[in-house]
This record gives sequence, C-alpha cells and structure tokens, in this order.
Amino acid sequence: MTTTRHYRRGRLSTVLSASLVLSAIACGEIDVANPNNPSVDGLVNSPTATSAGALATGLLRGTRANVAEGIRWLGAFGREGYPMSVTGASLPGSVRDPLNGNGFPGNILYADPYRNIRSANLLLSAIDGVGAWTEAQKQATRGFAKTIQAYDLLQVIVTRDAFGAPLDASLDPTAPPAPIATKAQVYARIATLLDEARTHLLAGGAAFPFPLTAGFAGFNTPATFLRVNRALRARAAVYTDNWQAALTALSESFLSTTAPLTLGAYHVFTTNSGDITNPNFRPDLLFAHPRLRTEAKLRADGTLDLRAQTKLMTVPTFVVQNISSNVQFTMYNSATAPIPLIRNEELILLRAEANLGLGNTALAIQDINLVRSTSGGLAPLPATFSGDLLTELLYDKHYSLLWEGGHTWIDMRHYGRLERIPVRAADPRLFPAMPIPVAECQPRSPQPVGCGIVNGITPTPQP
Amino acid sequence: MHLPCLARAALVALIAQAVPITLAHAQDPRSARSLSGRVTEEGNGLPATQVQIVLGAVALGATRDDGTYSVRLPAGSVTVTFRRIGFKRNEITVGPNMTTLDVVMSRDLLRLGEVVVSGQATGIERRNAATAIASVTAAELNRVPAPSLETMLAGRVPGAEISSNSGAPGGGNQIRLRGISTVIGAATPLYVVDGVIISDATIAPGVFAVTGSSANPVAGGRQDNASNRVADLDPNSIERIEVLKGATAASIYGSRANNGVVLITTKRGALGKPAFTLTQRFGQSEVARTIGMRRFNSQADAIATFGPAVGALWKEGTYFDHEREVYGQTPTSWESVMSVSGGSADTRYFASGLLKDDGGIIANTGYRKQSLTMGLDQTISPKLTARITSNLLGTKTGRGLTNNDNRGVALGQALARSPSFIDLRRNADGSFPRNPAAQSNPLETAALSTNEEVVYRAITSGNLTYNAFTRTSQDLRFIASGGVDFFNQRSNILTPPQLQFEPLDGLPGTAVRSNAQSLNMNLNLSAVHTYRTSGGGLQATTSIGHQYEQRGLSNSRVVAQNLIGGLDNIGRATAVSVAEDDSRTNDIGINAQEELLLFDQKLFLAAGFRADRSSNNSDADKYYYFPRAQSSYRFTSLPWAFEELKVRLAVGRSGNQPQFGQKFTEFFGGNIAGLPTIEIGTGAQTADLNLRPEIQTEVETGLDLSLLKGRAAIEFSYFNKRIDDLLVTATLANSTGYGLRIFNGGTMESRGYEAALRAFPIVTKSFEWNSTTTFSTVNAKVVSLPVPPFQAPGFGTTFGVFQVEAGKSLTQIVGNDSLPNGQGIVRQVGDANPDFRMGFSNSFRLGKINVTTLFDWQKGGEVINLTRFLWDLSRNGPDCNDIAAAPNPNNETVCVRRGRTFSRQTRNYIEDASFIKMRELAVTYDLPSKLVRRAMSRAESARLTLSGRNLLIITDYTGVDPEVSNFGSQAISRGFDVSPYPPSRSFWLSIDVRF
Repeated sequence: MTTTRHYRRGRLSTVLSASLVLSAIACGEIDVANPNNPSVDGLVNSPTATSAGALATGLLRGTRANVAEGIRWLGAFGREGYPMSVTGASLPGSVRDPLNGNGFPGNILYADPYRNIRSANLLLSAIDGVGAWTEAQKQATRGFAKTIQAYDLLQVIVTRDAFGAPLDASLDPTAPPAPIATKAQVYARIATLLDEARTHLLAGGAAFPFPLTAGFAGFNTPATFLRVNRALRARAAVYTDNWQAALTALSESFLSTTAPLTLGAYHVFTTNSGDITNPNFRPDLLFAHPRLRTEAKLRADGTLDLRAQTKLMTVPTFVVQNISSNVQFTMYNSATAPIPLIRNEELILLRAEANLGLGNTALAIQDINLVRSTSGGLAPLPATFSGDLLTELLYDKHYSLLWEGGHTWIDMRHYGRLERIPVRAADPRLFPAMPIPVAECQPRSPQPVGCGIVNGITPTPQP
Repeated sequence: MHLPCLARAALVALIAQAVPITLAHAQDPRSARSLSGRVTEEGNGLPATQVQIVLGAVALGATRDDGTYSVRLPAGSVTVTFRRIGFKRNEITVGPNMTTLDVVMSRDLLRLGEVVVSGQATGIERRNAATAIASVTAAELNRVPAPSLETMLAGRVPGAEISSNSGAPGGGNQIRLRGISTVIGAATPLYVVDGVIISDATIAPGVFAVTGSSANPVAGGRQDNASNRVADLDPNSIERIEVLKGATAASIYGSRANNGVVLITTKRGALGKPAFTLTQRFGQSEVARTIGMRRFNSQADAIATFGPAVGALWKEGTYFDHEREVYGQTPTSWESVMSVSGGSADTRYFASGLLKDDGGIIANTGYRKQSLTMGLDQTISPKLTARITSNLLGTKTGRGLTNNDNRGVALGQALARSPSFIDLRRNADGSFPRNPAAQSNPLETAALSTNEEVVYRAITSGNLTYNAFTRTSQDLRFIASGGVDFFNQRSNILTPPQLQFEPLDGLPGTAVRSNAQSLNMNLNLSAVHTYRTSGGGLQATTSIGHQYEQRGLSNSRVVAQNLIGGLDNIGRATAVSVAEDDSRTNDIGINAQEELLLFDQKLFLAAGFRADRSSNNSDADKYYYFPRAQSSYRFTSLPWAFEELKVRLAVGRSGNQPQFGQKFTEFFGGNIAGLPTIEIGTGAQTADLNLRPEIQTEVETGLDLSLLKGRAAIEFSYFNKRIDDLLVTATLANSTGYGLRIFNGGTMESRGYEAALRAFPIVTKSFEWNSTTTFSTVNAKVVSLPVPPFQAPGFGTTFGVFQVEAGKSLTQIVGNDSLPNGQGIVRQVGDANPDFRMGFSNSFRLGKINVTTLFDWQKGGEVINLTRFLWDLSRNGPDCNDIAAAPNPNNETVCVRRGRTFSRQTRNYIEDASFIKMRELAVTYDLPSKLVRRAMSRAESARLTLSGRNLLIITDYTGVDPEVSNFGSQAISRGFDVSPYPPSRSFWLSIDVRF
C-alpha cells in the first residue's frame, strides 16, 4: 500500500458504486405479465375484431363442455345406459344413492353453462367497442351470443327443473349472488333471449364476423342460424306446454319431412391440439341398459326396431356392483364423432308432441309414423289409433334420441311418468331433478330449495 | 422509477457506507510475533488435525496432520480460539510474551460449539442460539442409502414431518416443518444450497394423459406421482443440513419462509495432502407391503364377482398372486462414491463423484444418478477470499404408472380388478394374455410401458468475502454470494399400441413428452460489522444485506396419440396436443440485523427485519416487512449434575407470497376444431387487486439444559405460529361464471411442542452408546375465515375431503355420515394430524463394531384409504370371503358391506395412520488396519457396513402405506392412499476405504 489516501478513495468509490447498483436493483421494475393467457380486462375494455371473434367462437367451445357428461348422467337417470367406471365407481353408485350437489354427478350441467353465459355477457359488453365490425355484424354477434346463452340456460333448467335457477349474476364477484328464479321465470327468460336473438339475427346481414364450426354447416349465417334458434325455441316451448308457440317456432326452424333426420346442428370434436375428442367414445366404460333390447318393438319380420339394432351392439358382459350389461352404444363410434345439439328427427317429434298437446291427433300420428317408419322400420300407427298416443310418442322420442342428451329422463318427468322408468335392486333410485351445486348454495342463507341432498324416489324394483 | 423506493435504497446504502467510513482509522492487525504448539485430543492424546485457530473473526491458520501449528499474532495480550467441528471450543488468552502453546481439545458430544445460522450472513454458536435450529451432519445422513435426501432426514429432526408421497424410486417427498402453514400457498420449505435458493419444483410428467386422472391439460398432473427436484441432490456431498423451522429463525428469508428453510452446506476441502475416500455399496430391495389378492373358493363366487364370462374361467385350486407378480422384482442396486479433499493454506478443494443405480420393484422402474460436486476455497489476498461450488447432476427415473386413474390402466387399479384364478403372465410367444375382467393386464402394462424423468442439473454457487478490515476489537466484511440453479427435466411416457387398453380410445398408442426448464438465480450482498470489547464482555454484530432473486419455470408438454407404427415419436402420431405453462417471478429483499452477545457471552440479543417485494404480489413495488427479535440467556453456575441451562425467547415474522399466477384474472385461450377461441376457463379464478404475502408471526420459547459433564442435553421448545392474511379461496356461486376468488383473509394458528434428549449414556474406551430421542406435536386450527368452509383438492365428501373451516382443525376430513335416525349428513369424520411423532436414534460402538438404528413413530392421524375402496369395489380384496357381522340376512361379506354402506358412511375407508417404522439399521465393522494395509498399501482405513432401510413397519393400517400422498406434495390434501407405488425395503452391503 503506497498511499493510504488513494486506497481510501478507491474503497469509497467502490462502496458508492456498489450502493448505486444496489439502489438500481432495489427499485427496478420487477413485475411480470401473464405469459400464459389473455387478460379479461384487456379484452373487454379494448376488444378487437380478432379477440371478440375468438370470444364468440369460444361460446361454441364453452357450450360443448358438459354435453357428453350430460348424456351419460342424464342417460343414467333415464336408464338409457350406465357409465360404468371400474375405478371411480361413479355411476352405479349414483343411481343407487342420493344425489348431492358436491360432486359427480349432482353438480354437472351447471358451472359450465353459467361459465359460458358469463363469457357471452362479456362478449355482449365488448361488442360495441369493436370498431372494425359493422352494425349488422354486431347485431349478428348479439343474436348468436343470446341464442347460445338461452341454450346454456336450458341445460341448467332441464336438470334443476322445479328448483329453479339464478338469472342475472353480477359482474362483481364479491356481490351477493343473484336470487334463484322460479322454473317459469327461467323458461320465460329463455324465450325472451331467443326472441331477442331472433330480432338481432334478422338485422344481422349476410354473415357472422367470426367462423362457426363444421357442426353448424348449413346454419352458419345469421339467416340460417336463426333456424337453429327457432328449433331451440320450440324445444323450450314444448317443455313448458306452450304448444302453439312451439308450432310457430317450428315453422321458422329447419324442420323438414324430406331432409335427412340427421340434419341439424352438432357439437364437433377433433384431435387437434388443444381441442377435445368426444368423451363419450368410451367403449371401455359406457354401457347401454339391457332394457333397450327387451323393450324394443318388433318389426313385421320379427326383428327389433331398427333403432335398437343400429344404435346398440353386443359385448361381453360387464359387472360392477351387481349392475351388469352386455350392450353398448354405437352412435359415437370414433373419437371425433359429433354430438347433436338439435336435429330434424327431434323437431318432427316436437311437432307431433305439440299437435298432440293441442289435440291434433291426426297430425301427431302423421309425424310419429314418419319417424317410426324411417328411423325404426316399424309399421305405422293406424290413423284411427285409439290407445295412449303419448306413450307411443315417448317410445319414439326414447329410441330416436337415445344417448343424445337425457331426453328420456326429461320427457318422462315432463309427463309425470318418472316412476315408470324401470329400476332394479342394484339401481333403485330415480331423481326428479339434480341438486343445486354446493358452490351456488354456500353464499346463500337460508339455503334455497334444491340445496343439499336429493333423495329421489325408489319405486318397486323389477327383477 | 419510484422516488420513495430510491430514497429508501439510498438510505440503506448510506448506512452501509457509514460503517466503514467511521471505522476506517483502525490499525493493521498483523505483527511479527509467532505462536506455535501442538494440539491433541483429550483422552487418547491423538493429534488433533484441522483445528482452526482464530483471532476474533480472523482465521490465522490450522493444525497440520501431526497436530502442530504455527501462526502469527498481533502484539499484546490476545484471546485465541481453537475450534474444530465436533470439539468444544477452546478460548485461550495468550500473554504478550508467549511463543508456544499446547492445547488439548475435548469432544463436543452435544455439538454446542457448532455454529448455526442467525442471519443472512451471520452465525451463532448453538450454545447461544435463541431458536431451536436443528442440524444434521454428513455422518448421520449417509448411514443407509435412500432414494432421496429428505428420506434420510425422517425421524431425525424434531418438528419435521417427512413423508414419502410413494415408494417409487427417485424420491417424491414432502417436508412439513412445524405443521401446515398455508392453505393454498406454496407448501414446501425453501431449500438453500450454499447460498443458492434452489428449485424444489414438482413437474408432472403427464401420466394423467394416459390414466385420465384429470382432464386438465395444464394443471392436471397433481396425481402423477412426480418427484420433487430436491431429490436430485447427492447426499454424499453434503456436510450439513440446518433446518429453520418457524418464522423466528426463518424470518431472514422473508416472504418465502413460512414453510421453513432447509439450509444445505456442501462439503469443503480440508487443509493437507489429498485425502481420498471410496465407498462402494451394493443393495437389494423388495416390496415391503401388499394388499393381498382374494382367493375364489367356488365358481359361484367368481361369477358373482366378475360376471359369467370371466367366472367360467375359474378352476379349482388355481391361484396367481398378481400383486406379487407386478411388484415382485428384487433388483440389485449399487452406489459408488469417490471423493478427494485437500489443500494448502490459500487453496482448498473438494471433489466428489457419485454413480448410483437403484432398481425398482416394478418392471421398468428404477433410478440412476450421476453427480459431480466440486468445491474450491481460495484466498485471493489477505482480505479477499472466494468460494465456488459447482454441482453437476444427471438423473434418470423410471416411475411406473401408479396412483389414481379413471381408465383402469394404472397398475394398482388394474390389480384390484384382476382375478387371481386367471394366469396373466407373459405367453410363450412374448405376448400377454388379455385381462377379461379389466381394461388392462397390469403385467403387460408394467412390462411394456415407460414413464421416465430425465434431469440434467447444474447448481453453481459463489461467495466472495472481502474483509475490509480486521482488528481485534472489530472487523468489517462485505460478502457477495449467490448462484444459479438450472435444470432441464424431460419426461417421457410411452404406452405402446399393443397394450390391452390402448385401442379403447380409438387412438392406439400414446406418447407423452414433457420438457421443463427451470432457472433460479439469486444474488445476496451483505455487510457485516462486528465489534467486541477486549475482555469479551460484549460483542455486537451489525449486518445489512440485499437480495435479488429470479426464478422461472417453463414446461411444455406434448401428448401424441395413435402412434404410427407404434413408434415412440411424437411426430409420428395422428392426434397431437400441446400445452405450455410458464411462470416467472422476481423478488427483491432487504435485510438488516443487530446481534449482541453480552455478559461473557451469556446473554444473546438480536433484532432485525427483512423487507421484501415480489412480482407475485398484486403490487410488485410494495415492500412487506418481516421483523424479528431474539434473546437467550445461559445460566452456568448450576447445582448437582446440571451444567448449563439456557432459556430462550424469540419472536419473528415471515411470509408466504402468493403463488405465481394467483394474481391474474384471465381468459382461457384454446380452439374448437382449429378455430381460435377465448372463453372463461373451467373453474376460473378472479383475483383480488391486493394479493399479498401471508404473514406468519411466531413466538418460540424454550429451555436447553446440558448436564452430566456434557454427556446429556435436553432441549424443549414451545412455539405458537399465527398466520394472518391467509391466502384463501372463496368459492363463487357458479352462476357468476367463475369458480373462485383468491384473496388474503383469515387467520390460522398452530402451536406445538418439540423436545429432544441427546445423551451419551455410556462412553468408555471400548463401548459407547449414543442416543437421541425426539418428540414433537403440532396442532393447527383455523381461527377465522372470511369465506364459507371450502375444500382442498380431493374427490368430494363421498370419499372424504379436507375442509378448511373456522374453528376447526386445519387437517379435518369431512365426509358423509348418517345420523342415528338414518338421515344423511356431511360432517367431520377424521383428522389427518397425528397426536405426536417420535424419533429414536441409537448408536452403539463396541470396539470396531458400530450398530446404529433409527426408528420413527407416528401416533394417530388418519388416512383416506381409497386403495382398499378400489379392492372392495371389485370385491377382490383379501377379506372378501369373510362374512360380515350380524345382523346379516344376506350373508354379506365384510368388503361388500364396507362398499355398500360407505356412501353414507365415509368413515369406512378412513383409517388410523399410526405406525412405527424402522427406518435404518446399520452394522459397521472397522477392518483392522493391518489387514487394510496388506490389501491396499496406501489405504488408511476401511470399514464394512451391512445396512437396511425400512426393514420393519408396525401398523394396523390396511392400505399400501400410511405415509403416501396421491396428490403429491400438498399444503393440506396429503393422506390419500390411491393405489400408489408400494414402499420397498432394501438391504445394503458397503465398503468404505480412506487413503
């Protein structure tokens, strides 16, 4: 060390620069943006045609989320089939024990539809801000969003039925939850949404400003999508016994006695990265109820109803918890098989149902026979048929819409025939409705009807 | 730039400068006076090597191999300290004219002279420490080889609950220090290796894509039985592990310390000529516990269970124990370790290499590890020393397909449905028979599928210490330390098309590839000033520091199905899905601390604080403060055999910052049939705008008593942790469209006792008995909760689920139950928290033979035994032939009854988890030196060890293992036993040679 002064100055400057570095680090910008997903605020406050368009297309993804599960569980409630899981023991237990809103299957067809309703609401609030869209395009998007919202709400109310369902949830997550509206109010809202959507779609110009999936082939312009909107309107009207409204809606729908019965709107599945495959293509786990064979009507040549032939196949017997079956479904025969949202065969039967409700027996028989012969290869009902026509209609709805969305359970309940669904000792329980999920109940006091356990009914088992 | 922040930093910087400036006129310590002598061990008189000779904080030198030393001292009377780990410290006043000094060192049986951490850059001798910091040394760690480091700590640290998530090779453990400290925050301790904050990430390989345990492509891997990355570390290269259990001690790590901190110190080079050690171990393992397969005594039973088609295959007297077939490998394992240590006064080095191959009890599983550790300590100038440690690691783990599953694919689940009367073993042509009763043949799945993790990792740390000046009365050091931890984890899962279950989804053959990269970096700058009075009556240590930390983890995963030609190539598939998940966090922390040793080092007082900000908080610019204060007093003049009593009291705060991503409210970006979509994701969260760290305030008090001339010590601690601003989730009404809201609110409290008795009941020349018994309890309770009770991840109340509820134990299990009137009700049906845990570690030395044992006892606590549920469900368990108790009109068997009644009685599958495990047993024989020299002329010593791990488990538990966790490491949701990889026991023969 030659000079102490130099030494000290050097040290001082070292310390000074070190502390400057330290200060710079201590005060530097350290925040990190979300690298994984777009932010909600950003999209809603400054939407672009691309982002709002993706949000609109996203409604089709959202509304598809619970469809396959709905088919399985509602299908089990209506004894169409059993999702038998070796490991989860899911379904056999669920048709044996009471339903609770705290897990499968009591909580399905609820959170997902509401999630999509919220996505649609966010889209509706963003539409005005999309500068690149014309007024017609905005109207078309509104019509599309409200139609999907109505469809989602319908999913909720067909499962919760008399318990009702909440409408108009607040955007503020800390606000008290929306009151639970009655079944009638919910159906009224569904009708309103669909009718408002109709008005929007009529002003919606030639095309949507976003793409729809191939499942909407033929229904992917505002004018043609309106036919799907009207079909849903008819389904909701039939469920509430508004026969005339149903017929009116059907007249604007895609109902056709000449087009294929499979014409309709579908949920699609692909093996694309990030997309999902059809969860009901599960030959290992999903079984049909053996009654579908034993209860099927016979054709003139003594063979089974064509629907029982083509939609079912025989497999080795599988037993879980004393529930056994050797029949499986064939309709979802690949990972990318689509699931109907609504299709022509249902529309014809809805028209028959509405006519039956209005007492137009002849018109009803005409439509029933169309489906019965085309789809089932069965002999037509005589025009003078004097038996219980409703039973006949429900038979056709059962077989025509098998494993497509719990139609059997919904229809049997609609006509107070729930306990006519045959049960066995191993699966003795029938449910009038699914419980309101725990998450919906928790913030509420007192607990609304529908919270807690749904015991259902246990008619005398058949051997 | 934020002015207040700059001002604050400038203030800190000014303080940092003030210290050196005001003290800059002190004098140079060196002078021309020398002191030399010889140091020996008490009793045997052997030379004591590697004894450090220290003046204040200045290292003067160390003793040579013959115990001699020679150092230079300043003029005047000075106090010189002779110290060596494992020996009592010797402080000797050297008169102004003394030139020779011989010293006798006595063994520090209770390690009271060991220095434990007291600040980010400061330490304190255990005798003065004000908190119960546990430490574990190399000798204890490596007695019996283990799958991972944490396993070796089990039973050794009071207050630490260390459990294996499964028995799979390659680790997967969780350490809970003083119980649970969070509900939804990070749940594992902070691991620091030589100053580098390393990653303990658990990265799911993507098993769920095969087993269907979850449908969520990003967060779905919770049940994948992945290993946590601390398992990578090589225990053989570790010198010491210190465990900071609660906020009182861990406060120095601020907002990441609520779960405690585990400080790992790598071995360092020692002065002298190169010393080599060579260890070779051979071992064998076998399955430790199985469930047992049902024996079918009649065809009617077989048909009733598996249906007519399968039942027809029943044959009188055929019995295949498929469980023993699947878990029946008895692989040979081996481990080779070589290390060298040496150095001169200026340069010391250490290097250690490890090659290891552990076999698994399931085909295609196992663990291989290669590690190279190098440490260099270099004195650059009298004032500047540098220390560099570098650890390169490679591991390859085969983990098998286990745990929860929804497709009948995972081995345990397939076993539960495999009839024992059907032969499932490989056919002569190499193919496997189809399992007619299940979706898969577990023997085929085990033999043909792959689930492996390959990790390459580099952990490098550096430490630069600048002794700005050193005087007898004071010294000032600047320390820069930190380092980098980088790893890449590639996971590879292959279930080839020919497997029975593969074609079922229409896309035969699945290959999953996950690629994760993790980079952690941190830099700590500290200044430490120590002042001491000449008589030693007062010592004051002032330290300030700054920490910058950055960590990032990026994980991409490809799931490829319908493999073309069955190739394991994700490019040869028709259905490919890709997911990526990134996380990045930046943290900044400031530390300041004052430590005082008063009254001849009898009274210790310390106070300090840490201030932290983090990008994981909503406001990344806001500092959160974590203060602490500690005190201890030693009573030294005690009656009877009592030697010294220390009473201690400490309070401290630490935090647990929100996890990455919890502050975001986001849309989910995806596609439908290739069209871009944006939507609210399933169960999406809405985040609070003021998300901030959870704050733990801990009070710890205790007594440490040493007695019988240092032959026994009793430590007792009581702690009370209160955690405020808990991160909680409010489940939102589904009708809002969102799943939950995350915010800070609510308080939990946990308190407990820890006690340890360390004793050397017998110490003679020929026989020595060393015994340590530890005891701990902890009870955590939710004091207040601003949200309705909510549930931790699980399977719903039917199966039992952990529910966070005000006024209740944090580990309560709720489930379905029935009231006396038959009505169903959901209520508490169990509690996972054990009553207490005890560890018994004993070591006996008789001449050249040394026997050590380690027992671990958990009393109480409950486990959700869903493995048994699965076996009952298939009516395939060992007790499925036993008839249940009356009234029993239908002649129901016990397993049928459990399965039938459980949906209204979750308790059927909740079992007591009490166990006693013999974790370790080792018998060591020191070979006679003559023999050793004859065999190898350069060898100094050699020993043979016969050891075993997990040799014995005593428990009433009927599942696979009461410690397993289907969801891996979790804050709360441990204790789900869902057909995991079963535990194994292992036997080892080792030889250690020193030369």
